[in-house]
Amino acid sequence: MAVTDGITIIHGPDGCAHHTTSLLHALQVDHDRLFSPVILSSSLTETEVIFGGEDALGKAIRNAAARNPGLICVLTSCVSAAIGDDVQAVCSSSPCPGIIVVPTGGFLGGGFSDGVEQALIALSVLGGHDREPDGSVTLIGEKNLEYEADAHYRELSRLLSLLGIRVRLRFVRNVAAAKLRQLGSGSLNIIRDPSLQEVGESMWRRFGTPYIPSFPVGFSGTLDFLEQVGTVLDIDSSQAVRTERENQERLIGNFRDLQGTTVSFSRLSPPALPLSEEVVQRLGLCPGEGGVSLSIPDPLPVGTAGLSRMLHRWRRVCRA
Amino acid sequence: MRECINALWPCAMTGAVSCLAGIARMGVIIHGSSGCYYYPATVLHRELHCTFLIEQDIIFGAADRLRTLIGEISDRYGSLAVVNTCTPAIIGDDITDMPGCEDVLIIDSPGFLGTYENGYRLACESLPVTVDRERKGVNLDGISLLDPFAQGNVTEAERILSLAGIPVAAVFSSCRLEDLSHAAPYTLSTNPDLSCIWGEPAGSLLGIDRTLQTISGIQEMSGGGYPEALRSEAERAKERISRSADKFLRRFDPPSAAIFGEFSYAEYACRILEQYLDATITILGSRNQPGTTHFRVAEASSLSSVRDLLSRDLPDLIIGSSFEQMICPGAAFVPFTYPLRGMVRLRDRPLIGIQGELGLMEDVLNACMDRAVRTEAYDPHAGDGSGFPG
Repeated sequence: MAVTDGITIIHGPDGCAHHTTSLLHALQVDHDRLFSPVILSSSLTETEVIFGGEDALGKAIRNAAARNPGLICVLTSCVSAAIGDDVQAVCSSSPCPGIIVVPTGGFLGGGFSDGVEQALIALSVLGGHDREPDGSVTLIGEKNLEYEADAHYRELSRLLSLLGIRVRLRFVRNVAAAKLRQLGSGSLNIIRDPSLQEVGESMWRRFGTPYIPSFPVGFSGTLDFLEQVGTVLDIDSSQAVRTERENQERLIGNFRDLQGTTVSFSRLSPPALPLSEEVVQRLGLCPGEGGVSLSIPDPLPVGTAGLSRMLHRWRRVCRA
Repeated sequence: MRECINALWPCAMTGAVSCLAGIARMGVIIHGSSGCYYYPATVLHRELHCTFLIEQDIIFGAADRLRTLIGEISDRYGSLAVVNTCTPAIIGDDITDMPGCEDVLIIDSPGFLGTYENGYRLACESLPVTVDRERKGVNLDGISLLDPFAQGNVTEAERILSLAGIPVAAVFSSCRLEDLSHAAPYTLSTNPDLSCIWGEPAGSLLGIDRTLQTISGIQEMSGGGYPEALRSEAERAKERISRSADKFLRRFDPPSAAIFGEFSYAEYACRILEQYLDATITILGSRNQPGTTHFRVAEASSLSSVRDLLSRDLPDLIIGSSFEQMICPGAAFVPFTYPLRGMVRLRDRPLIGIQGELGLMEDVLNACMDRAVRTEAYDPHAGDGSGFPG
């Protein structure tokens, strides 16, 4: 749905399509965007549940094709999976070429992350094999439902610019279908987080593109990230690391007033634990029971800018 | 088959959950996947439970998981209701006859069964209601958690009825569980699209005129006197609206308006816009099955149909949801139906009764004036270039 000129068909009841439409509408409004992804429902009702929904899907595909989209994707729902529609066969026999089927099957196809993974792998068939790596970076699997997704993108772009590198493709966020052909031509894939490692592996096998399995997290994690990118792309990262370390020192200096504050953390997820320990240590906070109750955002803050936003929220809590 | 691009209205399962979750001390279980749970939990803002079915449950049967959950939470509630979703309904898992769960309400309202209203009514009919013929007062129906006017409507109905000395018995669906076992013999409607089967219908509170008729009818039946305070408040309210509308019309043309929402609400808004502002109604876009009206009406339950209806005849004013606002950002906008994204709404606003009509017309006039002034300010032909209106 993040392919700007694509149409997504949800092969299921209108209500399932509404859930997604409503969620994406809320996010679009939060980001002051008027663009709304086109989500077409095959409108399965009790009749199709009894007699099969393949005709309804065929009709939905024809309706979608009539709009000349850059791409048509078909997602299966639990209803179409439960009634056993042969979605692949309907799409293959359709006069409309190049339909991407993502066999999500609603919850019958697994959880949320499984769906994201399947969609990314399904869309990767659109990438071209005919280009040499061009030194650019491709971001893989940005969390499109994440409120801070674009803020993370800006931070990634800033960090990579310290190395003289640019992001060429966001796979898949706010991108036209034709641009997906560039998927194989980046020199490095940066995966949003380790849960999508299989996608990184798949791209590696398909295009030979190396990958880093996560956006940077934490002070030292951000510096390590710069070194890692430099190593993979054969770029000297020492100046970039020095610049970013100075940036981080300035940031820590800005929050010196928090030094010595007794703090505690509630409900820390395992990945958040090392980050909390690092920030406590770098800012000179005192962990202890009865201290100011702080939280680590989930997903974890990205890069130095993410830490900065988290620390502003912590200071607000400490002052309250 | 109609084309449905970007469906705008929730399914029957959400409607059923919305009805049941309005009853205090009733625990609501969604028998389905996390996806089916996540949406109503997000938009209804009530504690809901879910069996969180996974593929394995569909193969080996999901009833055990449901029975376990019922056992875990039954102590916390006075009663439990289970809303069935699409997949368990398709595979035919029998959850209606589970040993030890005889008191649990089972609502078979999978999403593919139809619209929000279908599910809401189905759940409402299944509530454990006993009509108490001796009970004084009236019931209210048509209250739904998805409705931005729900709490305001309850408050306004209670206020108006208290002026007439009429107590409120059960509220479908926003009351205590115990109120259901002593429902009154008569029921007043706040939203005819969500009317229930409990109690004899005794009129609607949608609009000042209908409110007065309804209260008058109730008082005739019960032999009570007509509340003069209510009549004079209603007259004052209508005068105030007429004066403001008249002032608007001295300076501006009547707006052309497109109105979107559940049919009865939208039809009411069309009527009062015509009545007070001589407005032209370009379209009544109904989220559910439209009823009979003299206004031009069409079903508007997908973004493509809304876009199509709006592009045929671009209105000055849109009364609807943030979907319509997004499509026509240049039009004056009055928030009216779910969803209302991108704005902060903290107050309880009624649509029914006297305050409801005042509130809607206040919003309409302010939105129209803001837009008209904005348009005038940027109209190169409006003045002599001095920055003052011509």
